[in-house]
Amino acid sequence: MWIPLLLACQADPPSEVVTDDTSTAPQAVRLDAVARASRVSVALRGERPSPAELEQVADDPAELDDLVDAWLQTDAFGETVRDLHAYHLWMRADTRPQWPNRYELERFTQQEVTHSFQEAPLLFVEHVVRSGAPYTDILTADYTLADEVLSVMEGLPFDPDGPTWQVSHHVDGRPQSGLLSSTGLWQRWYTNNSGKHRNRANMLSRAFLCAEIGAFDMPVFPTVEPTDNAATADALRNDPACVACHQNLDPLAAYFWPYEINIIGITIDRAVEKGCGDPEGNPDHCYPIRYWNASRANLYQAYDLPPPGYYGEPGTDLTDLGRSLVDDPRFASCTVDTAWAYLTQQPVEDFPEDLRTSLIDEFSDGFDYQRLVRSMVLSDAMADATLEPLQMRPEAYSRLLTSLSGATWVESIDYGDVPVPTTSKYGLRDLSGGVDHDAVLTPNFSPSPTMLLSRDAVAQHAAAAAVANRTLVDPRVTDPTVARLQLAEAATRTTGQQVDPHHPLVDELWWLHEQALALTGDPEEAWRITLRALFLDPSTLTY
Amino acid sequence: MLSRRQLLWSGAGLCTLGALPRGIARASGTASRKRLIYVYAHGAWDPTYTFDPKLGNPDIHGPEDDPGPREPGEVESMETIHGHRVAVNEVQRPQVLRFFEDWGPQVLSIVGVTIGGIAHYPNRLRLLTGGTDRSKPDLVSILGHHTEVTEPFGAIDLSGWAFHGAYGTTTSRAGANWQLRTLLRPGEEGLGKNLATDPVEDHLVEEYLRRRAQARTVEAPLERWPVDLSDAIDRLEQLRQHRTELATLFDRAPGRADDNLDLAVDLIAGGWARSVLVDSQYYFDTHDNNSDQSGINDNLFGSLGRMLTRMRDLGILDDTLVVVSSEMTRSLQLNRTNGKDHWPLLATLLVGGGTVGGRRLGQTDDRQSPEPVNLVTGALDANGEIPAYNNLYAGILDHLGIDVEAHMPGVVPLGGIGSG
Repeated sequence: MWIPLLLACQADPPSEVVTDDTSTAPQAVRLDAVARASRVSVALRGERPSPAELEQVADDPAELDDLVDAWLQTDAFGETVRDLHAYHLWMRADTRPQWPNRYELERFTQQEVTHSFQEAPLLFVEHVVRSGAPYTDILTADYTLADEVLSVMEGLPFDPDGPTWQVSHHVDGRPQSGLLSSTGLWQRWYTNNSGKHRNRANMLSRAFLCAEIGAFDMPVFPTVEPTDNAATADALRNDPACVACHQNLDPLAAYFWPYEINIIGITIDRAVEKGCGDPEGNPDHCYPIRYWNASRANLYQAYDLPPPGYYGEPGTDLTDLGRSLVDDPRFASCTVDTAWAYLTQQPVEDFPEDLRTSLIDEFSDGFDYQRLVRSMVLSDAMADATLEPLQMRPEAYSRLLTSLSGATWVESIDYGDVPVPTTSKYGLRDLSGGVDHDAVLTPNFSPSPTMLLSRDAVAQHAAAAAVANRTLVDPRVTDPTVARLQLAEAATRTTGQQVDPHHPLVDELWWLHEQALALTGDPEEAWRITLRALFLDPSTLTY
Repeated sequence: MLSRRQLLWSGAGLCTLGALPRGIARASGTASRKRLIYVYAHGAWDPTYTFDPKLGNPDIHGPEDDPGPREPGEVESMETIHGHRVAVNEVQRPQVLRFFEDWGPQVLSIVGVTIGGIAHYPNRLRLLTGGTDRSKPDLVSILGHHTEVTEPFGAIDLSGWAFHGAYGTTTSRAGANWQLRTLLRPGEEGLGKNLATDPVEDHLVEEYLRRRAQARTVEAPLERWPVDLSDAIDRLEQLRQHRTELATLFDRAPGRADDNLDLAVDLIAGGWARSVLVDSQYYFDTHDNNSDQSGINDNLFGSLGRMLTRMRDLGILDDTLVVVSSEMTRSLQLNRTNGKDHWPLLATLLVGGGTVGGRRLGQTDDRQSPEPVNLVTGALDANGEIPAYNNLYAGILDHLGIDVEAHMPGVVPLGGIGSG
């Protein structure tokens, strides 16, 4: 029992020292081909390479390039694109109050309504990326996406005989300019009578330019009272405490005046109670919601605020804003920085400058997001063996376990069918180290007791499903030789390492399996417990 | 088949013998034995209704400008109670009055501290972390990561607002609806209903993970993750050993103030956590109908008084600092919807944990602008400096016995919080 464990303690890390031709001094420690492929695969898809793919790169590390090309075409990569942008735009804020599944939306569950509304902008970005169109389309494209829920909610044209999500166009007169025209995005980034759309402007500066206006401390204390509109308008132009931010913030905010500031469930309820007709009930607040009204475009004048403009350049409407944003050099650098930070889980300060410069240059030439991601994951920086292990985010972990077990943990409650690992209101996303896109905004890449407890819950459900579905092991197996073969294959598929029956990991799993069998006397239970542990293994949780 | 007891004790592998390297990555600095409950009043409270009144100032709208009807004999007044300036209305805000009457001698109120902005999220970040970098840990997470911490949670966030920074392994979360409770009750209601109920199975899996983590620390001695994993497994095991007792603490309503504050107190008193971040569950963002501040402040101060009484009765107030703050305050005058907008100042209460109460630090003038203080002593000083959020943050760190320079290099801590 102890000899294999000693070997485990002494095993070499899966890395190699790289030297150049002119010096014997080590230059970098890189992951070996298999470990590298596994890291890249999880980063791109949240899934491990197949055993055949691992063999392919073990035989010829250069094969990774072709594998990456194939992985970029998978639905799982599309999900990663959505996850990345959800994280960056704080879109999946399911703990917040949502537009209700009442009235015309009664046939849907609240989970379906929430999911469609929050996911629509993310599916749109995925659509742009996977279509191969320039990434600038996310802020400039002249179309949107709609499903049945959105067609009812917003009146978007939709063919019930067509696919679930379809290309569509707003019919309320709003300029169509990618995400800038998304009701879901701007309802997430709602404003109020006092904020006057500045929250939305600030989000633009943070998410697309990586230069958040609101992150700067006021240089001096303001002297103006904000309810005095004339004095405020004067201060916003002349008071140094205000000018520093507002000279750029307010013209950006001015683009958004045609949008509603915020519609909440009770707004809709009241409108419906009053019959959805003027003057008794505002029809704009009944389904389909009229979130855009061009007649409000000049309302900024009522507060003596500046007209639409982009960092000193006058502007007109959303299409003009979209063009200004993507033409801003900060858009390209911000896109590169945010993708790198998400995929590597490293702070931007640690982004190797030469790599960063090269990626920005490459990306700025055609805005090919797939090519950017490809270059990033194939870079030496991504193969750095000295990085702390990257911890799977809840979304990737869920995808991995779904791919291994054939099932996702879904709880059916009054709210709807809720995917537990990847939601926060009734699920375990933020307990598992993820973010809730509202209050919890920093992911936790370190194991904590509550992270382990919640991941264990997810692992237990996946293990039970894998045994029931016979997806990863045959739970009737009791012969030690066959069982070790089975453990080796399961470990390979789960951890992305090439694990043979004599591997130290198999020794450990076999030790556990024997203990579990002794405990339960039931082979199926023993396999379930073994898979539960494998799904929590450090090699599974990290990559 | 082996007995459960045999199984429990047969699993220790070679790599796990001996003590695991707990605390290796913990923060360095002076040992702190203080504990912390941070009560975050979300939304920007208006201290003109409580401990920074401006009654009679025509430039600043306060409770005296609330629309009627008024109760017979209802009067707004300003009184000095145990060293605090308090807005008193015995009809509308009896609990505010009672709070300062009962707890004023132990409370330190701090006003006139700039927060640097007027937006909720960036100000929350400034308030909780002392800066604008969300990768940095907040006060609660720092204390929960301290070298002396033995509580299994370290820090726990009941609110969702925490910034754990590099201290994620010692900062636990409870979930938006305290889903943690259901995970502590395997086989019962909610998310726990299909989870394993046999503690021996849990122990087996934990033992497996320990062996694997230990193997990894040998393979890759420079990696922190497996060390943190070992640490987390140990603490998870402690939690599971007492999971019934712990789950019972969470048998409260996540949306109720008193339930949140009671839970925070119980987690500290029971030795579960060194520090707790808790939301007051009152929402102070009154851009419309600022008169709502009267009721929500009264409710909050009632809850705070109740919490402090419990802490005193449990004997934990002397070594537990309670911080109560909002991310900013509210502007001077009512807007068109009778609300008040944002104002870039902090108004904060400290009590317990060695705080010298019965005093107020800082001051705002008749335009609600901050006045300068001597940052070292906290006393008003016309030749001093305007205290900023990072001074206050550093001052609290210092008071808690945390190495200020390690977390807030170059920032002068606001003095005058404790007796030192």
